Amino acid sequence: MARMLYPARTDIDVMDNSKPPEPVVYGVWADHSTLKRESLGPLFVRISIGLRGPVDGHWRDSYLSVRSDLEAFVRFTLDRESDQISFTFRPAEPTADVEALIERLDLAIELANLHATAAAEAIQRRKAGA
Amino acid sequence: MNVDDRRRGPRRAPKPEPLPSTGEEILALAGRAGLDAHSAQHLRRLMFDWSQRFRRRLSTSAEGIPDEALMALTVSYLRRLRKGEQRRASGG
Repeated sequence: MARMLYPARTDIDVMDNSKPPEPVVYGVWADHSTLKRESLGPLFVRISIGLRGPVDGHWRDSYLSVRSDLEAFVRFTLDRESDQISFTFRPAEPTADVEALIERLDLAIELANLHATAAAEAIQRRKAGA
Repeated sequence: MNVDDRRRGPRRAPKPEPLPSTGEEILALAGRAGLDAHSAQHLRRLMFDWSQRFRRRLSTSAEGIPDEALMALTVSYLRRLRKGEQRRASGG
């Protein structure tokens, strides 16, 4: 099994200069087994899903950047305290539409992983060049 | 450069495979998120091949291709790419 690399600040900022820094690869995912549905009155339902993996400040910033890049991602709200993402929908929406929303959320998370990994690489390159 | 290459003149970049608008949008998003050009080309090819198969099977137009299917394909591709990078990073 691949070792999960947790790109905490210590990995990026406090490096031993005698060896090359390990590449940082973010691998956050939505744990669908934590999915919770909550009724918000007659008009809306909220779904919350917990995140697993190396969620840190860099990843959260990347997620917010990806989220603002597409209108369809804006409804996915990240709770920085609980590391959960939630969204609302109308109870009348077909199940297939809700499943499509969850698929879209998975895409936003993978794009955030890509963004955070690229950002961490840029930081490492800057430090190596300094 | 051999004689054949000189006769053909400068090589043109291959024309990118046309995708449904959602596919193009996903590629643009992935590019802005940091997907490298080589992987983006690979993902485009995967989406194109899948779309062609879908259209042949269901005799539908490009507009008939479900957005979620292209998203699922992209998620699966990005996860495979990430796991490969994690294996390399851990020396496995």
